[in-house]
This record gives sequence, C-alpha cells and structure tokens, in this order.
Amino acid sequence: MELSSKRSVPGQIAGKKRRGLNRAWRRSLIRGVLLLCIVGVAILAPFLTPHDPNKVAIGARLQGPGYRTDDGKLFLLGTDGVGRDVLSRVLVGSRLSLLIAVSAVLIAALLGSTVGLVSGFAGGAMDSVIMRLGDIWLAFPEILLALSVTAVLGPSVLNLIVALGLSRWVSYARLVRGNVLTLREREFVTAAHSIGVSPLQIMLRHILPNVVDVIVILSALHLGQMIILESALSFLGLGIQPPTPSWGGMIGDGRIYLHNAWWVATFPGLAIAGTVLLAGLFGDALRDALDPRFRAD
Amino acid sequence: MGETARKERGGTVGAVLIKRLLAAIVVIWGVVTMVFVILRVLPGDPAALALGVEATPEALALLRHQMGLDRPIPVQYAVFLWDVARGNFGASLDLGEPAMRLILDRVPATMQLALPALLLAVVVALPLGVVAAIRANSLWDRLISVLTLGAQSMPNFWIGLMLILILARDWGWLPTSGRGTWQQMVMPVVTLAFPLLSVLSRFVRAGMLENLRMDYVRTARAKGVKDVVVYYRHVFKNMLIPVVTTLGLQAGTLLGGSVVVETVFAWPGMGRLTADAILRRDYPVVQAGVLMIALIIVLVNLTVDLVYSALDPRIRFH
Repeated sequence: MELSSKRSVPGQIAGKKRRGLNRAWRRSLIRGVLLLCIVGVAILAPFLTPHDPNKVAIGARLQGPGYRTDDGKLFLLGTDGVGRDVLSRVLVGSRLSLLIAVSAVLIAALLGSTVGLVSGFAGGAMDSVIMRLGDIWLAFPEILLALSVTAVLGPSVLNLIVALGLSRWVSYARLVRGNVLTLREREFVTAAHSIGVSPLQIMLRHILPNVVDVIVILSALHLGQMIILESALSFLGLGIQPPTPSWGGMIGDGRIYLHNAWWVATFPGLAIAGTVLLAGLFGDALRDALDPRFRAD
Repeated sequence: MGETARKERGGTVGAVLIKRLLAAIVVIWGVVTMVFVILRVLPGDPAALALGVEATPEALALLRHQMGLDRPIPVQYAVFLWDVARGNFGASLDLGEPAMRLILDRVPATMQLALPALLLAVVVALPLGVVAAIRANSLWDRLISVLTLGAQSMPNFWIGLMLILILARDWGWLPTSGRGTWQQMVMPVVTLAFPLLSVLSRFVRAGMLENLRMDYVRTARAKGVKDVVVYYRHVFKNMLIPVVTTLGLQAGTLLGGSVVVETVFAWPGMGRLTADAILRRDYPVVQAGVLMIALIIVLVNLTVDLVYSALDPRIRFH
C-alpha cells in the first residue's frame, strides 16, 4: 500500500514491517468504513426513520419492542413514555450526537494544537504560562467544566460544542508541545533557521506536517469520549433540549420508566456504546497504522 | 553516601517540595480565577438565569445587587478572592444555608464511594493488565482488551441504569438507590470504578510491555531468573510508579464521575449537589462545589507528585 511504503525500512525487516503495517492499515480502513456507515445513517436518518420521531401517541405509550398497532405499524424497539418510536428517535438522535462530538473534537484539536505548537516553539516564559494554564484546566473534571459553561451560556447546540471543545484542548496542547520540543532541535529545523526562514514558516511548513499524525490519532481516540461526554450533559438536562431526540436525553427520559419499560433507556445506551466502541477501535487501528512506535504489539 | 551528598540531597528534596507547593498554589489560584471567569465574565447573567424568564426588572436588579453583579468586574474579582480565602461563598439561593457548609457536609458521602471505587479499580485492573501483557497477543489478551475497551465505551450513567435494571429490578439483589446500608454502596461503587479500571488496565499492560522490552529483563532472563521473579521483582515493580501517577490523574475521572453516578443512584454526595445546583442555577453552591472538587484534585496530584519524587530518585534529582 502506498502509505505504508512511505515508512518502510530498507532491508530484510522491511517486508515484515510492511506486512504489519498493511494489516494495520487494512484494519483501520475496515473500522473507518464501519464508522462512516454510522455517519451515513446519521446523515440519512430523516429518510430511514420508520415513524415520525416526535409524534406523540399517548394511547401507545410504553409499548415493548416489536409492538404492532392495529393498522399493522411496527415499532421495532418499542415506544417511549409519550408513545414516540424509540427506533426513530435513536436514529435521529445520532445526528446531533455525532455532529456535536465531531465539531467539539475539531475545536479542541485546532485550539489545542495551535497552543501547543506556539508554546513548544516559543519556549520560555510563554511556554511556562501556557503549560500552567493547562494544569489549571486539568484540575476541573471535564464534565463539570462543560456543565458550568453550558449552564452559564445556556444549552444550545453551539454552546454545547464550545463547552465540550474547551474541556479537551489541553491534551492536544500537551501532546503537540511535547513533539515540537523534540522536532525543534532536529537538523531540518535548525537548517531552516540558518537560511533565514521565518519562525511562522518553520512552524507551519516544517513542524506542523510532522505532528499531524499524532493530532489525527488523538482526535480519533477522543471522538468516542466526546460522544459520551455530550450524552452525559444531555442526560443531566443541560445538553440537547427536548423534544429534540438525543441519545443522552433519551436515557434520561428512560430512567423514569426503568422499572416498567427497560427498552426506553437501554437502546440509546447501546447506540452510544456501539458507536464509541467503533470509534475507539478505529482510533487504535489508526494509531497502529500511522505511528508504529505506539503499536500495541 | 557522603555528608555533602546527603546535604545536597536534602537540599534538593526541600527545593523540589517548595517548588511543587508553589506550583500547586498557583494552580489553586488559577482554579479560583477560572471559576470566576466562567460564572461571572462569560456572557450570560447569573441573576437572570437564577430567576428565570418571568423575573421582573426590579427583582432582577435586586438580585444583581445582592450578588454584587452590578459592580465593575475587577471589584467583583477582588471581593470574590477575599470571600474564597475566607471560605465564604454566600448562602445557597435555594436552601438558604451557607454554600460551603452544604458542600462540606456532602464530602464524606462522595469519598465513601470514590475510595472503594478506586480500590476496586486497582484490584481488578492490575491482574487484568498483567495477564494481558504477559500473554500479549494471546486469546486472553484480546479478550481483556475487548472487555476493557467495551467498558470504556459505555457511558457510566447508562452502566448504572443497566445495573439497576438487572441487579435491583430483575434479580432483586440490591436496593436501587439511597445511602445507608452497604448494599446501597455496591452499584454506585462498581459504576464509578468501571471507566477507571478500563483505563488503568490498559495502562498497566502498556507499562508491563514497555518494561519487558528493557535490557535488564533480557539480562535477568539470560542469567536464568525464573519468569515469575522477572515479572514480579523487575517488571511489575518498575511499572507501578507510573501507574500511581495515572491514579492521581484519575482523581478527576472519579470526582467527575461522581457528578453523574451520584445523580443516577440518588446518592447524597457533593457531585450530585453540584450538578443539582448547576441545574437550579444556585450559583453560590456551584462555586463552592466546583472549587472543592478542583481543590481535591489539585491536592491529590500534589501528594502523588511528592510521593512519586520520594520514590524515584531520577525525578528527585532532576
């Protein structure tokens, strides 16, 4: 494969390594495609739902999975406390969960990487101040930080994205900074310096391309955690507001009916667990493929 | 060790101690400032949020005045710092009692879950991680990896609800919620331990594998040292130090988790109190709760840092 040969080593080991890398790439490809399928479902959700996800039918409330109405309509995953179709809501709920998680990861990655790049490259007092700021940030559990920010700004989708993005930038900043510190001393950087390339150019042209892999890997690994964090906020009531379906919000609703209608809280949770697991597996595989130093084996 | 060297070492340890303490104080100040920024400087009016949309302008003005929101930001900040230094966060808007006392009253309940959860996570994660590393790439390793990744993929509030569903509703083994008996502790502790033990066991595995690759392990094996001895005396012990640090970093996971888990199990801890206060816009309690949680995390990390530098000479000297 093209990408793996870029990193292969000449000599006898090369063949073995390339095979290992090929396997890693194949694995990330398969998992990536599966993840894309979930994204596809999210995008196409309005066309896939068997029922209107917001249609209330008190007469059909809390009907178990496989419930059929008199006119033959099937509710595969049952209905919730006000008779809405659980399957349709799980499908539509994926949209905002994924949109928010992906956007929040992008914000965290962009902000954190920029900070880390500048901090590592500039060094000195600026670096110390930024890193101390990171320490302070890490003293707040993410959920508390995100909860406080959404509580103050109000629970809109945009605020949720900002709150979640802000809760995670430090990991990117630390990772990128660490990499920059080593790269800064490398010959190609000192050479660029000596021929008078501007610091900004060095950062963007010479250093950034070398840290992109680690940023991508971390983003993939964070995606699932972001989905969980968003669902926790919605579960607690400060995320996506009803009646818009969201996985966390549905679990929050289902909690009330836990004793007589298990399906209301169970299925959205399975949707979260499945998506997050896949995102985690994808992140792992991508890490193995992109950065063989971190290979699990 | 010579006299000079001992003196030097003592000096270094003292210097490290002072440096870390100063850094912790800076972090605590930063934490206080951040709480201020989030609750007072970000757009959004705490008074308006506290009173809701139907508030009259007069009531709003009165509350803004009571909360000191009508003063300039630097003055508000100075007053805030002074109040925090005295532990005075004002009275809860809902309950009328001093916010800090409300939070302090709930600290024991939170610890009653957090500490056993930590212990449970360690007791389960260590063997899992060690087995996964020793039998790397075997069926066991894969099984453990799938299980831990699976556990990490489930939101903890959902795990809690599923435990209630199975253990309390279906099997009737345990009470669903509340605090009082040990049976009521089981589900929240397990729920809280879940994400932690996944992270920890993956970390233990990685740490073991890294040490297994070291030259000293090869040397020990070449000398004919038995596997068990190599694993325990050399690899396991060397791997423990970074694991302790990770545990310190997980204080945040535990206390953050307590916000959700205590809500699910109606456990009267400070996590739930803080979450409720956020939902009810009870700002004095939010400030006190968030600060207390952050403070505990900073102190835990400081302690871990100090224990760590006492254990590992490489860190002590550099």
